[in-house]
Amino acid sequence: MIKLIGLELRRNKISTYLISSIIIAIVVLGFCFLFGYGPQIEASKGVLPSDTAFEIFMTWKGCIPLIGTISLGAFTVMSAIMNAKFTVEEYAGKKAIHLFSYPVKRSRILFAKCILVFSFTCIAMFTCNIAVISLFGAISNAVGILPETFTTSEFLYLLKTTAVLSLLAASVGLVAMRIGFIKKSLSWTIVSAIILVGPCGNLFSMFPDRTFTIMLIGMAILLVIGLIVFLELLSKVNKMEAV
Amino acid sequence: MDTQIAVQTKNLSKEFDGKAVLNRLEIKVAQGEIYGILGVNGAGKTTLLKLIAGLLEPTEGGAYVFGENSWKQRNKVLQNIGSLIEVPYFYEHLSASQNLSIHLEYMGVSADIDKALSHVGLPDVGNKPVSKFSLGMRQRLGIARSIIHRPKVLLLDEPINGLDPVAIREMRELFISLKNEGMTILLSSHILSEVEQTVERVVVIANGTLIEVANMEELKNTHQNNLENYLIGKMRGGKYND
Ligand SMILES: Nc1ncnc2c1ncn2[C@@H]1O[C@H](COP(=O)(O)OP(=O)(O)OP(=O)(O)O)[C@@H](O)[C@H]1O
Ligand SMILES: [Mg+2]
Repeated sequence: MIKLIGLELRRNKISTYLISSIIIAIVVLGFCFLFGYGPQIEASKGVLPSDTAFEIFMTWKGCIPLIGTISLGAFTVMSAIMNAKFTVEEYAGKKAIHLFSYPVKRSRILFAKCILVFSFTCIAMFTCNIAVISLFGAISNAVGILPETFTTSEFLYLLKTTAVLSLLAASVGLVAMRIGFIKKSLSWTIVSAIILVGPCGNLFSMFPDRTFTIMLIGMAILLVIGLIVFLELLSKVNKMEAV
Repeated sequence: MDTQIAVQTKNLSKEFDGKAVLNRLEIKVAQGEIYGILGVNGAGKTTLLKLIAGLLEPTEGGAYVFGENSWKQRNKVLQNIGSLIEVPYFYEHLSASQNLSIHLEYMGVSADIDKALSHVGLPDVGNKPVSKFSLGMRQRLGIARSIIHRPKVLLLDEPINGLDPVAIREMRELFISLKNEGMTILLSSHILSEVEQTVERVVVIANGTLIEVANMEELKNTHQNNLENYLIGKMRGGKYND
């Protein structure tokens, strides 16, 4: 299995996705400053932030899920693109002839592809989101962007939300891969991912006290669906024809 | 039985969306022979090769490579097969050598990549990305990939596609030398002259039905001046009359 994953890495350009992750991280950091300074700019114009806006932008409990959701959106789309490139497109049309010509169990090759994209998404999003928000926290502590201090307890909250959101991004990517597989199409994969991840922002902010619970439930549901459709595809790939 | 049967199809039928593409095809290919598959566009040549390579599930009957069912014991069969079916697919951003090296990893064998490249007339392109290759260079690389792991059975679907006359001759010589080393080669083509010059036996298929299996030497002797007419008649599925 390690060998098969290694082969996937050799023939796909993984550097593209490393660079994409870094770009996402930079953009997300930009959003951090935007949200962090937003209320101050508003206030300087004499507009006082509403209570909910204050909750979200001035407290770490509000800011971390908000920034996390932006990361979630970006990494879900990246995961969908990776799944499309590594998996969906490789089974489309004439490319399948090539992939199916090897005396290796087809389900093992598919497994290698999916596990690689799933773990890459998790690790990339986990690393980037933690790094970006911690950095922003440190800067905020130094120059006072948010009124609250970013302490260990905020960091722990960041760790657990990011862990859940990273798994959510990877799970949505997996489900989107399965949907894209129906049409063997890159755009179907990406659009499915966007449709699935789209409502997350609203869902998370629906009950501000329960944000983490909602994230956890959402992640659990998508992870289970992801595993089911993945196992279904594993059994199906052995019977696929290369037409 | 003095020679072993390398490839055999038994009652092999394939339908696409209810439309029959191959009808109860029965062929036997002996180990170490070059066997031609002749037919017009859409006759079913590619479909037959795909069935032998375990890429399609037969609607009825089966294809066998050294006695193993191509669809049901696919992984065993694929170990013995090298194939170039339809347009070869490569990892475009990688070089020819990298493509071959990954291929060997998947096949689970090792081989001399430089030697394989020079075998097919691509000695100095090892490090160039495949995206910069011409049509003929891709075809040569596809042939290199199909033989580098020393398969017992080689399936070639119109292997001379896009090749210049010099390359066509080189490939013909390559196929014959591979055959002399004991490789069994199935070669589909609709180019009569190529089939005439390369293969030992030929099966003519029309509309997915076997029209005739013949020994090439004998055909050449019997139809000295009108072999082309004869074969075209067969490919049309009809009977030929002098
Ligand atoms: N995936 C498919 N779905 C439906 N019909 C197909 C499919 N693949 C092949 N066919 C049909 O099967 C028939 C045989 O096709 P095949 O590709 O085997 O022909 P061929 O002899 O290789 O032709 P050519 O010389 O043009 O390559 C054709 O009528 C083709 O339209
Ligand atoms: Mg064909």
